[in-house]
Amino acid sequence: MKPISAAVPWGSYDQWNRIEDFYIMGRMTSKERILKTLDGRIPDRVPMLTFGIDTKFIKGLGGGSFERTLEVLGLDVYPIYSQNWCQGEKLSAGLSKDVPEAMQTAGGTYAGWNGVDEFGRLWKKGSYVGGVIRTREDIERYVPELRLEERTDPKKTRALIQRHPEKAFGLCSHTGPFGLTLESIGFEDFFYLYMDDRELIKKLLWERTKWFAEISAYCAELGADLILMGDDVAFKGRTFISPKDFEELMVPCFRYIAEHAGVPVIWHSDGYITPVLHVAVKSGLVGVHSLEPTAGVDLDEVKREFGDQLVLVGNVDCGRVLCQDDLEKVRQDVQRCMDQAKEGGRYILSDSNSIHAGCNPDAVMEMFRYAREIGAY
Amino acid sequence: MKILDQLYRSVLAGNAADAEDYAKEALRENIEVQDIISKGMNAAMEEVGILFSRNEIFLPEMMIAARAMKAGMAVLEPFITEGSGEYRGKLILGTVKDDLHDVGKNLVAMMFRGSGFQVVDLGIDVPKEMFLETALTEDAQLIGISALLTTVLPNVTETIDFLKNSGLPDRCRILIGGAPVNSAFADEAGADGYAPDAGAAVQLAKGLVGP
Repeated sequence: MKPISAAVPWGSYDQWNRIEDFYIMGRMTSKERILKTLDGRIPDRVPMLTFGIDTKFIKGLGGGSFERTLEVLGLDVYPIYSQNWCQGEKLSAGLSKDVPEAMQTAGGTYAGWNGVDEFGRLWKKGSYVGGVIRTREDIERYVPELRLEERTDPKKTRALIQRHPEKAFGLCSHTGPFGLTLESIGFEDFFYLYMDDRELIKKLLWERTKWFAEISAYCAELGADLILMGDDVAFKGRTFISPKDFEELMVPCFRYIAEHAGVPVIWHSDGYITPVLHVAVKSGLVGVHSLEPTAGVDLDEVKREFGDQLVLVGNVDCGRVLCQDDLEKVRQDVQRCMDQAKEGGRYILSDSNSIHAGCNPDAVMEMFRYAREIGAY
Repeated sequence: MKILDQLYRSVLAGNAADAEDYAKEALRENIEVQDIISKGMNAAMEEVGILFSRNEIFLPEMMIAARAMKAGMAVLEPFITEGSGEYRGKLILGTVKDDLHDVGKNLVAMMFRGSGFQVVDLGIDVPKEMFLETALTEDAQLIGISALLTTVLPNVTETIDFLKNSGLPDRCRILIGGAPVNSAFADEAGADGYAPDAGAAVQLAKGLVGP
């Protein structure tokens, strides 16, 4: 039997998590739950994860400690991150050195990013403002060195994994090849180049693909159980490029990542990605996250069409439902997701993007609490 | 007229070089500037907007069409006089206060310019006072407020309230759009219209400003 931690104040959500662990001894660990789900088998209950947590929550829920925040939320997947460089300074999304106020960083997750980063993305006080790559020479200039150990801090990562052997660990990195290529060039210029010089786009895409595959494989060696690849390819109502073009362009890239990562890869994308979910299947990706309802993704429809081929992750509305304080609405949305996607397994409950600065903390906590309450198989 | 048809096709296909050439040819043939714009280019962009809304074309195709239109317009601009009626209307566009995103707004600007509107782009993080002051100074028919972050939706409501209570003429209509925005929110906030994408925004605007 697992002891309830005396260090956790009674009545806190973390206390709730520990009580649950206490009473369900002999049931699955988070790691078992996640691995079973990714394997297409039925676990004890629907697992839960999030792709990103704003620094506001790290401060408010975890007292500045990222690890503590994860414990309070009671997630089944603990994220690990790879850090990147901007203007020679190592910075990370979500693990800022000084946990700044959210509004100081226009969202709180890119604190300190100012200037051109190692990929050719241009930042201004924490906000992405464009890309600088235009030519093949620019591409050569902005292919970053792997620097695997410096990026991932293997000692710290292994220590985190050892402290939580019951948890699954996932690399969470919003540096998937399509989005990173687009950002390195800049939104408008990417589309012009896409039409004017598609070979340049393909060249940069391939560099970004290889880079991401290497990072993923290394994190898997460190102990990651899965990769959450952030790669935005759509917005409200449509994909950025036609589904036919997207398939031709991205199946080779995603397939390369899926084959080289060494662990299951879940693809995160905002927007209406229903028309390109078949690309995930063709590429050998295991699942898809976000499934943004306000962008038009219908979980019921996606489950019917892809439920036996993909692990579906997300769809709890973080654009509205998780930003307001009526907890009954939160429960209703969690119930809806469970009703639509739980049956047969291959569903992980999550928000439809991230736990961003606009989310209401009580709503977020209620989402995870209620999901644990009704998620048993 | 054959040349206008060729101009139309070049804009639709996103061929900027041809659009420029055909615009010059149309001028040499002494075709009225208004006709060159409306039949040769606006009509093409209208079709682009419809195709985009139907998901028959996507962002790359839409953007090169707008680029072709811009190339054609660059040829014609010296011949357009203020008040000559070549523009459908004027749009004051910006991302609401505290929101720094501009991708959607830039697409809207592109589509509106491509469809014969003048656009004054105020950029990002725009205070409500700037929307009002610019709309009055420019005698605009439309104000477009863009938002990407859910956290700034109260700012959208506040901006609309301010505009409506601070002397904005009734004929100046307020449109809103962006990822967290929908028609229900637009109604609650008191906007005159909401559009889910740039193409639909242009169609909505045309309906509001009239022929």
